[in-house]
Amino acid sequence: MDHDSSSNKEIQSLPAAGISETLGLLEVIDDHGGEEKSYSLASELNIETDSLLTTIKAAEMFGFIDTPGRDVILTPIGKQMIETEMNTKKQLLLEQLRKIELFAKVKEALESQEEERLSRDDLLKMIQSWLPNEKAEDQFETLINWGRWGEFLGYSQDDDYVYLDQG
Amino acid sequence: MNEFEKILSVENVGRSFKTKAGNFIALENINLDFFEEEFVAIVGPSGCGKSTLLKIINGMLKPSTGKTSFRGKALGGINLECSMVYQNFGLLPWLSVLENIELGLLSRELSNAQAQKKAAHYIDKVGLDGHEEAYPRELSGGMKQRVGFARALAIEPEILLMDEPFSSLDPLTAINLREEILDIWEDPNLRITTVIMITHQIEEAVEMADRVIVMDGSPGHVVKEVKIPLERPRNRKSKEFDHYVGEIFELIT
Repeated sequence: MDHDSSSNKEIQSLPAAGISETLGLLEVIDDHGGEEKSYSLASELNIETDSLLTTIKAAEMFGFIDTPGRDVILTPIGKQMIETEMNTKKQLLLEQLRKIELFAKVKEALESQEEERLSRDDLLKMIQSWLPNEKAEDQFETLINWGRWGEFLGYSQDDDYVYLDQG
Repeated sequence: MNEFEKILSVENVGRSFKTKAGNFIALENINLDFFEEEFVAIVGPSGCGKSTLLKIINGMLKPSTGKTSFRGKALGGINLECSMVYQNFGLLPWLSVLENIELGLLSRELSNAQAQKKAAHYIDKVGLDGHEEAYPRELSGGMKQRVGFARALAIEPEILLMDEPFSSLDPLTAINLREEILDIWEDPNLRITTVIMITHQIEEAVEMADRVIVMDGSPGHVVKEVKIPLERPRNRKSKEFDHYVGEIFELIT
């Protein structure tokens, strides 16, 4: 993947997968010796192919797996992710989140605000302009889920602000 | 026979309920011992009295006959050294993650500051950092169950009781959380020593437990106890693993 950080670069949408599921997928691949065919995972786990592919996409976006052809292969960082303790897991996840364009855009947008925060509606409008073909609410939901996990973003429903998590 | 100290015992326990159709016997003549540092799974078909047994163990329900004792002393009411994790999480939707976890501590005579400190510690242990202000509706099933775990752990009990804790989760999330619960149970810094888990999934029991208690119904009774002496982490693909799954499966059917 091209890691050019110019702002014209196409932003990838986030697959609607949870972090717990993604970690579970890494465990399963590890059980198979670190490498398996994606279609045999779907039948083994008895889950819908669509849902498995979404999780695979998320794991790949984090750099936890590679997907040459029909194979899914655990990367060294993917292996580390399942073997390490919780706080290192979160640290690793945070490092990966920082490489994802949508997170970089949101960080930039938040930093440009006077109080470094945005309301949900304002952020939804931005997401819609960056990803016109996606449902902004779904992207927002995944953004907040992953962002909270990696302690990158915070969101309070009570005062309706998204902010950068400063630890 | 067992190198560890006995922590809890169930002696000649029976339980019946009055129904319109007459007296329903849920459990009959249950005798079980639980030890420190063991993970026990209870499996059996629905209606075999597993959940009733778990409620008797933690003292929410009184047995009709027999008794339970904790470290040699007969139990009269709720056992404060037990905490419970539920299949459907048992969270209050109008409270945040942090508030849900603190709520469990209210009954434990702690100052607000102490409760907050404990809640924060267990939020960290189960990977919920960053989610403190979220409401249950914002969370996936896996994250909701992490709240359930943190709330149970925050009480710092010696015994963790879990009633089908993974069965409302999708398969991948369940795999992840099983691993994490085993890590938590093995963590020497936590007070938890014994885990008793109800499940209807035999593979889950064999993956996690040192000992599997197989029950059957009408009325609920123990069929057999099967020890699982496999080292952890266990390979779900191994022959030995299959052997134990097969043995328990035959006992149930």
